[in-house]
Amino acid sequence: MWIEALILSTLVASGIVLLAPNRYAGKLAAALSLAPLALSGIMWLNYDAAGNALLGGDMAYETTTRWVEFASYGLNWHVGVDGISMPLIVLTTILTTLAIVSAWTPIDTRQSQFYGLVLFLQAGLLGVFTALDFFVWFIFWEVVLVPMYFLIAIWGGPRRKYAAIKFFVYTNIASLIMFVGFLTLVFSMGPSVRAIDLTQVAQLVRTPGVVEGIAGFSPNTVKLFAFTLMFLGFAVKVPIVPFHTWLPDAHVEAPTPVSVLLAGVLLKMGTYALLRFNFTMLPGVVRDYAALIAVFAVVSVIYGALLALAQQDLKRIVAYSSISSMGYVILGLVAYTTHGVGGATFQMLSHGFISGLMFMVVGVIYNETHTRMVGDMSGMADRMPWTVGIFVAAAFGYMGLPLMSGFAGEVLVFLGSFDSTISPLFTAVAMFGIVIVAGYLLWAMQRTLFGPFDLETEYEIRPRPSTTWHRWWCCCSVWSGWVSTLTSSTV
Amino acid sequence: MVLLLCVVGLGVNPDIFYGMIQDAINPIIEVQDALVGAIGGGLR
Repeated sequence: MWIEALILSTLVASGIVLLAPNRYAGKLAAALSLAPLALSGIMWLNYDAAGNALLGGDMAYETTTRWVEFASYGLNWHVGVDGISMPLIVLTTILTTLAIVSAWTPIDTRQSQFYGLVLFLQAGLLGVFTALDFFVWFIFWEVVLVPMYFLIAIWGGPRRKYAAIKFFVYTNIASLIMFVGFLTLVFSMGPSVRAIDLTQVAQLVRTPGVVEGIAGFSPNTVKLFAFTLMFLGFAVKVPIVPFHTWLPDAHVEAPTPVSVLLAGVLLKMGTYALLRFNFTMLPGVVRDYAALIAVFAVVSVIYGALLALAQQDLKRIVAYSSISSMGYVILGLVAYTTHGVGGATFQMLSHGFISGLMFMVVGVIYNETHTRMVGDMSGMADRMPWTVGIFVAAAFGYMGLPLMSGFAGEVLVFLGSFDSTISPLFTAVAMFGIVIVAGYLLWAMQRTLFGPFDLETEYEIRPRPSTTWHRWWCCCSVWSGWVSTLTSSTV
Repeated sequence: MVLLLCVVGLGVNPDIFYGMIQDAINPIIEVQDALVGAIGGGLR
């Protein structure tokens, strides 16, 4: 009953905060979000599962109850956790609590509705990462769209309605395409399937002879059709180039705490689903079309990084960086080796924390300066040494320097993909993406953080006394990055 | 600061999560290996 307690505590918190007065909503939401955070922490500490949830492994905190029976199909409330979902649950609860705290300053209207929707969003995300029955999973998957739409459309920037509608239309159409793909796979198994339970479907699909042809098409064609539709559906959510155009608009218009959740957790829904559905259920199709999928991955890495290089808005830079980072995840998945897929899953977690950190720092700079444009500010290290120190550390994380989580994720992905059946050329080209990432992040930092202080807005930032501790922190950040660069080049 | 600690913590000791991730990933990879082996055997 741990997962039910986790989701229910979040839903109850959402309801309480929605009814609370605006002036107390932020503090109340933060306090109530500690319950799911503590529950996920306890679940992680007591985690004792082994194997993969869909492939007959031992799940932790599993519950199965018959929920609804209609036609000849039964819907089960089936939830459980394995080594893929547990880290993402911890990521979700940590980021939600921090996003709520970071919203105390920028969100100054309709606070109770804002925090209520953020907690409702968290409940949906936790459901996506724990559900093991397709319909339950799909309900949570769709539920996530609703609060995110309102969070962008109500509390966003000047073009918030356009960004919110674009986000909703893109992701909702993608969900429908994915839905058709999965049902094609289920119906192709004929009367042998009487439940739409992901564990049953995953194991049946892999059994030779169970998938039958439909409308004169061979079983292999049906599998390819289902794989393609599911891949397209999830590719929008990740997002993979060329399905990425909703993401920069959504990020730029969304308030910072929402951007933190969007980049930190929502994008992981796409890669998580790709791993659970496409890569677990249809390994044969992955093997046959690995090179094509690798092309999508590498194009996302390089094109996302090049687009980031051309941006002036700090938030847009982080948004395009996310597209590039998600390309590494896809490359690791398609490598289909332990380190490749494991590294991709680790990279999901790592990117969640790093992108959350980057968006929060950009949000702090925006709150102080009321601009995010690289050309509007310089020498911010003089006025905001702590924020700048954290910005530098987060940027090093994005560049994948050692002692940062980004390093572990990217190294594992590269090791895994070099060791796989796909051409090493894909890995080599993707590695070049790191150089571009370092280029645009160092360029943005150089322009905004260092040099003489200048701010081209009507807002003033009071100079703050620079203490020895501040100087030590900045030097330490820069020095550790420099040493790490030397170490990594030596390795 | 909390997020920075998470980023550095995971960087210094990836095994905090990587162990359980690998445990869940291995069965997927074994399926693929078996599939490649079966096809290879069939071709031979």
